[in-house]
Amino acid sequence: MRNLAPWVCGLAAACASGSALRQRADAIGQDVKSAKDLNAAACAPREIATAEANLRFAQLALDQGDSPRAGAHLDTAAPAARDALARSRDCGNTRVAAQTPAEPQRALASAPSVSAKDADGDGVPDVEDLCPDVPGPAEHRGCPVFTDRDGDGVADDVDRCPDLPGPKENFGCPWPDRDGDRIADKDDRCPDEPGPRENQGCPRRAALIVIRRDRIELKQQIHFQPNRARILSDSFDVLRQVAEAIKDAPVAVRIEGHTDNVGKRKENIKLSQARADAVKEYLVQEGVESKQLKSVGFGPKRPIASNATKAGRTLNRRVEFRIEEKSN
Amino acid sequence: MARRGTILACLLLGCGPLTATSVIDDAESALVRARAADADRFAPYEATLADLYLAKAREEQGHAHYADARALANEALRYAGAAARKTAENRAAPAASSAAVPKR
Repeated sequence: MRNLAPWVCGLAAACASGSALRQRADAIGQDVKSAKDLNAAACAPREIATAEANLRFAQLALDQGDSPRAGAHLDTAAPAARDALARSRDCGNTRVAAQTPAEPQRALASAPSVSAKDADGDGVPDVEDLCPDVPGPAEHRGCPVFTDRDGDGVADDVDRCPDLPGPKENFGCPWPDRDGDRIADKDDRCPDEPGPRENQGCPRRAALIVIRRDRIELKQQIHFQPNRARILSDSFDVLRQVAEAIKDAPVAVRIEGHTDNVGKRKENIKLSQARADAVKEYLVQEGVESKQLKSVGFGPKRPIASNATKAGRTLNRRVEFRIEEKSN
Repeated sequence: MARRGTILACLLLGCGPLTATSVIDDAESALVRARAADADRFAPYEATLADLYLAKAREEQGHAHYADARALANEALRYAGAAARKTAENRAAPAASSAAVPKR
């Protein structure tokens, strides 16, 4: 009998402890219920969730006969429940004060979220209000509705140019465009000279060529390796400009190769043809349609200066671009 | 053959660990999906509950209380689903009223 005494005492103590814990759980449960009635799920969601869950876990631990774990869960649940209750009370008080004063009873009756905080008093609780400090209708999530006359997505009250569409980054005003080439100055490399977008807003420069009615005049002659048809790199710029000019206008162009009269006539004709062909090939590589181009080698047959002098012979060694007719 | 093996294992060991683990995994996936959709912001109450129930389910599983673990994991799954639904609703609502201009 004496051996059973400690067991009986232990069981009695455990029962007493379990009973006390259940009473404590009931008290916390009351707090949780009160907080939930005050819309704690909106006012203090994490606190009420913590209290509710730990209360449930404590009851489970009590059912399992594990008083220490039940006590630990109640220790977590109790402050969370108090916190949730306090926050919900604050939340609820502010909400009620901000309700429409003319019909307080109706507002209380019709709005289940009457206890939610509503700083701007627009009837939309702060937790659901995208603009908690500015009144706005519920269908706009509590934000005011503004007009937008120019339809640029920037409301008129903040739009510095309410009648001109413009990006939000420029306060609703269009970006300035001094040269009127429809490329904003900020993106325009030449903001005072109109130019196409593909040239970053700068005008196309044709400094090395002049386009005449019947020919493309070169201000810089095309250079080749001596006695060969290989174009030297210092002539690439001028040829690129020729290519751009031909691409811009639908014309057929005859590329003429000419030489001086030094050497055999037959060799000169052959060299001039090869050079004209090389120029044609380069222009095609630059995007000119092959059908727009024709290459002819005249050799020394069409001099433009005297072959008796060195300067004259230099002028005679040349490539010319003749505009023949409208292409297509 | 594999099915017979599973049945035999269930008979010998009990299926508690398997089913509890399965529900816990489902709950975890559901919560991850809800959180990826920003449930902590749009549905903090449900997301917190799902998180706590899932943690408790794991704890109970560790104590070999498989039935409790399964029940808690089911609760976690339910809350995670609610969090995902509420998040979707709350996210869709502001988009619908695009004319509103937040002042924050």
